[in-house]
Amino acid sequence: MTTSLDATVATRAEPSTVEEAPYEGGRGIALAWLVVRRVLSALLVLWIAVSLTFLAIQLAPGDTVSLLLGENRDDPELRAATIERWGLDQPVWVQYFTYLARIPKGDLGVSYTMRQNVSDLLAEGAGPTITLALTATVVALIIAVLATLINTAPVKGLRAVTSGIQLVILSLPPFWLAILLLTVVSFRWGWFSIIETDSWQALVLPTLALAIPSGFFLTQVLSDGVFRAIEQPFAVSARARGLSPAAVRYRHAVKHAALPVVNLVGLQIGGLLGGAVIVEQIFGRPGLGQLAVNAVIVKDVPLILGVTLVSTAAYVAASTTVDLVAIAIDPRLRTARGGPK
Amino acid sequence: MTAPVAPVAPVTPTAPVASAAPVAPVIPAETVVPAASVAPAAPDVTGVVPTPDGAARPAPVGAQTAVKSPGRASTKLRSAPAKASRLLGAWLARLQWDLVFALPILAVVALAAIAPGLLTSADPLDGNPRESHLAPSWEHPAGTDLLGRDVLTRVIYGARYSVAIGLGASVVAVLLGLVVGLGSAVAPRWLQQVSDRLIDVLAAFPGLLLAMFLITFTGRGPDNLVLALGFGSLPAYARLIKANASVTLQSGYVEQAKTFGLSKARIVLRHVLPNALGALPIMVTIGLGGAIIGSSALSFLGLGPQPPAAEWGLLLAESRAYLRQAWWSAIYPGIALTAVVVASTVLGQSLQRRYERRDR
Amino acid sequence: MTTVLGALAAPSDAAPTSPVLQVRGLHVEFASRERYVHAVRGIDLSIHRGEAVALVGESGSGKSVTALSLLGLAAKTARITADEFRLAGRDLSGLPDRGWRQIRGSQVGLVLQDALTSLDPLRTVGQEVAEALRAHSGKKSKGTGAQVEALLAEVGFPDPAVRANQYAHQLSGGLRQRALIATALAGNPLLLVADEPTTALDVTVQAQILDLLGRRRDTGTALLLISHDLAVVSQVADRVLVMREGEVVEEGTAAQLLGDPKHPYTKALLRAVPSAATRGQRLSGGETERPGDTLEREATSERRPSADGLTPVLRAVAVSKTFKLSGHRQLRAVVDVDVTVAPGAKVGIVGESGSGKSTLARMLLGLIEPDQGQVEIMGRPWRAADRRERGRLRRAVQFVSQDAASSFDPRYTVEQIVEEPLRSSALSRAERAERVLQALALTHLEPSLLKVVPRNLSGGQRQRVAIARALAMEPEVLVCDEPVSALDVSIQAQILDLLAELNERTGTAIVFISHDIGVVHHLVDDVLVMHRGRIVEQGPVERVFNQPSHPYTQTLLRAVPRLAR
Repeated sequence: MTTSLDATVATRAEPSTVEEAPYEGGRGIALAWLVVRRVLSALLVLWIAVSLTFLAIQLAPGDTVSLLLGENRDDPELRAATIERWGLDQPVWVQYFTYLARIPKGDLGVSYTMRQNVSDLLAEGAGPTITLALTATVVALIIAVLATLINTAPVKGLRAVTSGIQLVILSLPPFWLAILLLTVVSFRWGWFSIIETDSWQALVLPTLALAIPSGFFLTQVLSDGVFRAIEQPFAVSARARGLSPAAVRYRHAVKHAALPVVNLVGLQIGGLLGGAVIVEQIFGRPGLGQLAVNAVIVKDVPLILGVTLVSTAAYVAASTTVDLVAIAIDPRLRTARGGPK
Repeated sequence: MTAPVAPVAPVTPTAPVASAAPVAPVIPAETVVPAASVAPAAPDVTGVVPTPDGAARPAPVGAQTAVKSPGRASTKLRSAPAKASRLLGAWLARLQWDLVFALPILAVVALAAIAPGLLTSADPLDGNPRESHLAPSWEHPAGTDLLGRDVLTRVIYGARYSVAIGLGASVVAVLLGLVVGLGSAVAPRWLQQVSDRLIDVLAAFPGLLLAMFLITFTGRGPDNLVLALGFGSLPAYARLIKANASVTLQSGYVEQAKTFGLSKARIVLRHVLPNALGALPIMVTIGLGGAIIGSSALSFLGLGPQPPAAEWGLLLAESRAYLRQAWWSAIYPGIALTAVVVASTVLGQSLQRRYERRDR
Repeated sequence: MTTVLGALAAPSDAAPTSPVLQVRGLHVEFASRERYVHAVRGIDLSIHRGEAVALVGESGSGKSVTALSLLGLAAKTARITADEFRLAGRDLSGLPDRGWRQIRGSQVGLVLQDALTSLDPLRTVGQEVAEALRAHSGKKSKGTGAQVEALLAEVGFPDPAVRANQYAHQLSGGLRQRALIATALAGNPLLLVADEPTTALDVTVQAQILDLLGRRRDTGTALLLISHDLAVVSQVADRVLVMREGEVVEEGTAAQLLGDPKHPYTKALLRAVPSAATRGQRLSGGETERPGDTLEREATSERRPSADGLTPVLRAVAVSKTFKLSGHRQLRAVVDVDVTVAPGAKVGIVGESGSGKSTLARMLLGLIEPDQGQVEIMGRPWRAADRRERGRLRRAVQFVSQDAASSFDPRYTVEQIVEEPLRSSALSRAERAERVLQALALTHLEPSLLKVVPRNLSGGQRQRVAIARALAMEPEVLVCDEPVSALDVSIQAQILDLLAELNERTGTAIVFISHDIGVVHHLVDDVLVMHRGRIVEQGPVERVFNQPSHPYTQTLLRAVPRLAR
């Protein structure tokens, strides 16, 4: 521990040798290396995730075939097919490699309750869920920016009021919010019918149900970032140059506040998939969430494995993208010696 | 990608939300304050001066015009407006309004969880089918449900499930997080990297989905729900605890302790563990809201306590089919949930602020 | 760019006798829920064209608040009043913020202490300077790029075209500060306010920055320097105002103040500055006889026999340490260094930031293993010792760090802090309690502080507690890494006196690591000069500092600001 601590201390050192040398050529390579490393670590996470799911199947009580077959465990034909497909008569490590080899091919097994390939089911469900998650992300960001503009407006006493409102909104259970939206907006006012699941109208309420909690969560982080940034010495310097408070806020502070938000958007995309489980249930939309709920209720193990892997992949993809965006925003992350944080 | 805290719950422990009450200046601008009489002997200015942020804000018109008082030509450059209401405001601000609001709610919920019979005389499971879906009235302040059971009674009895499952899940998560986080912080470097990766992977599953995944294997029911939820929020806690422990391990006092000849085990026992434990009650309180929402969400999906239990999420799930006829059965459990979550978050944040002040 | 350099705005030219800044009876008060502070209590301040005025004071004197008030940037809770407040002849009282914005940058420029945080880390220095240029031209002027480069060149940027595209964290401390000064000069202000502009810098760089500010003053800009360091401001300031608790206690030319101070506070302040001339003298006034004198002597007499007076208590033999940096680079922090500390000796290690002195300290303490060479404690190689012996050796070498506050577990009281090292010893409870009291007495801390938590202590008290804790182990050597650099000069004086006194009374050897030549010259007997991980020169302090033979030592000594008496 001391070593690493001291190394950073020492890094600050040697101004003439380390800091001032503009190594123009080296930077491009260093940046490329940074990106490659990030992508490799994403793949590593995926590999561990796949292995963990395998471990879960192995460690689950009872025999694996019955576990995979669920309600169909007494069907001898399916039993034989499953044993073959998963290599269950082989030693464990062979099973592991069989499993590992199948996944990149998109072969995630068969859902015996739905009597369909898991990958087909997922492909069917992914479309609506991705649409929902993406629109919700966009709406959440819009909410966050607008609410932050209101939050950070220089009006006395405003912050106490807005933060109180935000706390309540954030504390609403998301499924209750969804029920309220459905009851009030759709049933009472007759807007945005959810009957035709393909229409844009049916997308509005589920999107709001997902985007409101997530948007206000981002608002908190963004506003906090702005408030923190305008207290930094560089903001004082900017003011001392004659910049207006608004210019300091929007030219300097917002960029600083955006950094954690960019990171969080990545996390939120993963969270939105979790949220989709409930929203899809309440609004009766098809999608990965519905699949997941059904799979859990009937103990359809291959299907829940598939959903889990897909959502992990989505999360990893999102967080990798987000890290790369962060590198684009923050020059300090670009130089490899920017330190651990 | 160092996620600060608990992305599972929409409640962020990082950002203080409530009670950002503006600090009201108590000195009326028109009063000339005799310097020597009021000022403390050695003002430590740096400790008091907030960063020069608000200086930007144009002061109200009245304050800007130069006021020439006959005795001493005092020129106001900028000053805060003074009103009698401000003094009142300052007094009100000193009251911790957030706690005034939060603690009674938590007290009522705790009472409902421990002794629901004190709050209502009705039976949560015993209904009169002829009184199905009665609107709120004196007799049934929150109406009745399909089977004619009193909704208010069921909400009161539901507190027990939500609080028990939420608290249980929080405690499980914190204890697991403590083991994993602390273990990882003191482990050799290679093991740290392995455990960091594993935590990354667990964090990659949305908490709710991770819990659902586990329930697939363990089966439904309240006990499994507690374990699954606790495990689902493990990564967030593990990261937080590890981060805190790493800060302690790199701190000046641990370095100092090494010069006393203390072994690593002693250092962990004497400094790292107590400092980590000190923050745990706060973490549990702040995480409680998220855990309660999570538990009710899973119950809502039918993965927790089974009917006819009066769990709040389950009540909401049951009400869904009759939203058009009996909105009240969907409103009250939701209000109860929201109130508990707001109150526990407020309490947690208040505790955290107090704890952070202690460190400074 | 000549415009930036030369011509001044009309108002001050019109009336050459009237000062650029004229402030009378300035008061600044802060009122918050918890506290009321009258930070500035009626000070008068006037600065003419081409004049450099310095405000000098310790922390809490109100000097920084005064500086910010001159730009209308004091905190929102501040109430500012003045009998007169004129800039370039214009009355600024009652000015709304919009009006202040016209003045900031174009008439008054501000330079803050730490350029790393005072420049936006997400923007290049070029962008920052351009922003400052544009702030008053109203529109985006086309020639900004060239103007930025000219301005950077003016403040001494080598290769400004390339450097303009770099971020603050990519520049050295000196260049960063120059960039910050460039942003403050962009609007060609009549008055430049510099708040501790060189405090975060090494002395060689500090000299350059002071020179830059001085030259700016010579072109006609009025300069207000805020500093805690009399020696620094005496280099450039024409007039010095000494502030204490919000009031100006004395005012005069630098020569007057330094040569013939009138006010007792100024005298005390000057006396407290350590230098070659103060060797062997007490820096802080007052208290001679203290509680615990007798107690302590007994302890000493018990202790002395343990050292034979010949074997060095601490010795580093040809130690080296290299750190791997990311990107396959490495930093040779310490290269082939020898240090010998005789029993009871006072050894100083001097170097600028990055010279490797802190790494060396950590090797002496056994916190880092050297890559090559070895550290011996009382003749016993650290490496050869087994676990039990290491514990014993560790206790012989104790550590006092720069930041005392962070070296205390926040949960502990003073008693627990000082007792902690003793807990693993064989001492009984009562013996430990007695040792704690002894250690407090040695460091002149009242026993009433035992139950206090460190956050309620003053900076000086904290450092005393840290020293008391180190002494509780009755070590042979105290390794002090910049122990006074975070302290005000009067507190620094007390701590230096304490260290000298402890060395004399208890015979504990001291390794004193510092960047401050004056402090080292005052305290130690032998000195080692470190530069880029190597010892470039060593010997008795008088010889090394009076007849330096190595060019680096010579540069270092030339750069030290001296009180020009």
